[in-house]
Amino acid sequence: MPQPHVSPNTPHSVCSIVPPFLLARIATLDDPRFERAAYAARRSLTDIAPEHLDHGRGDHSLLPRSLRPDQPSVRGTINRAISDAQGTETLPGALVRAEGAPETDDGSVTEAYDGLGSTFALFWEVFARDSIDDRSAPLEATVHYGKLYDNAFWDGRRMVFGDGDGEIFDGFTRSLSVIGHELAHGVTEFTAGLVYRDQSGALNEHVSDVFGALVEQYTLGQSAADASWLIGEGIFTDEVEGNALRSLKAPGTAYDDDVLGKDPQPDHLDGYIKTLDDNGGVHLNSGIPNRAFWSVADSLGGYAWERAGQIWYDTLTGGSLGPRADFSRFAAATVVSAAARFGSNSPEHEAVLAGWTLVGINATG
Amino acid sequence: MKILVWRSGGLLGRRVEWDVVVDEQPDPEQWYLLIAELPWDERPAVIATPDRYTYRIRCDPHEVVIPEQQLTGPWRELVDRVRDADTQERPRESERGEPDKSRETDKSDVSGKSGMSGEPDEPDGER
Repeated sequence: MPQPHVSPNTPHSVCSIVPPFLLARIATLDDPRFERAAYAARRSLTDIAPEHLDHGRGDHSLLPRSLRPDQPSVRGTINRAISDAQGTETLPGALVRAEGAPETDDGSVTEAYDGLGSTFALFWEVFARDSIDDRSAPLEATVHYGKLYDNAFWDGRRMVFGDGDGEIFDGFTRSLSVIGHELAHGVTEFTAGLVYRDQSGALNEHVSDVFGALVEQYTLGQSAADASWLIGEGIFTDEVEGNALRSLKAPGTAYDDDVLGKDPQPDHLDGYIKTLDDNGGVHLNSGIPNRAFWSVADSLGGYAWERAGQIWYDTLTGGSLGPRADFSRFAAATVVSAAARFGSNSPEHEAVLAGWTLVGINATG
Repeated sequence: MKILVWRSGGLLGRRVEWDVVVDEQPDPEQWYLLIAELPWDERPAVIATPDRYTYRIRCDPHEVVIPEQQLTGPWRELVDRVRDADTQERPRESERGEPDKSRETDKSDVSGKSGMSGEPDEPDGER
């Protein structure tokens, strides 16, 4: 496993150029070789003003080579590593399947391995993106995290999957859209760096839902018309009255259950939820741009990754989005991207404008 | 004395709630000892990690917000105790804010302004 190279003699000079998300990673290293660096990173984190701490984007392109994994000779070479936390909350856990290793008898490991492969394939084959950082970063996942842990997340370096609590969730690795969603958080971190709070956070979530859905559709060869547009289909237990975590096509309809409640996602700006929870409702208000994306894909037809997905990818990586972009700014950027790639007044350009109009977001910038 | 724990975020973004009344527990002294040793005045740096949980713990007059990755040691012990002691069979879906019926336009809505904190706004598009 590649380790960040940190000089033990000059921890402060390293930490002064290191973005907060990387400091947070270094701060948790417990290898004695990096004791001083970890200490320095923790000190640096407490010195950083809170408003800058979740500033996830920025100088990724300036990471010294020593902090990146060894460069393969050929772009587009996948490098997966699946680890098993064995019911603990210690990361990364034990490596159980490296790239090219044979399938094991652990279904979760197989699903994670295959899902990472499918996600890599979408980004490389469709968008010519070489892993999440476009520089062949290893794709790492940990399964069997925690005990009855009812969640999955991206920790800034790897995807982490619980096994579910057996009451609501029955496993997360079986959903291609969940795996794609989590890895897409990594892509966002390396590109637009949308701050995970309020509208920029809802956009961060939205981007992950878009590419999560596209991973599933690309892998299964589904057109926009045939796709379910659901995120996390199949991860609920049979006891739950619901199809999935979210629906891009119809936000607010994914589930209606006596324990979970009803899917609270709005599908229009009029329903925007102002809340202190969930970092300002990032999983809730993502429904609004989600429906806009579905609308663009649906009206253009064919495969969603070819045009709608391309426009969104261009927007995410084009460099015009700030980390605190709000819905309007993001929408305006998609309009610009559509015109740039397909031409002004093209069907694609018109579809994007119509999509944002549908959900009540001003896309004129 | 009542302890309330809210957990929000996660893949679904839902908020759930547990609570206990300390004096109704079989071992209230253990609870008081734990409560007394907790660093209620610390403000853990909240580094928002995608799809992780955020815990809010209230024990009047104290209230803290702790990201999941920092819910360790005595904080974790407190939350685990509250979850175990809560007599409800399943976590209750907790009320969230009502949908905002007023239209949010780009003029009135600036990213970062949710009333959540006093942090200063930064202009969009900065790199």
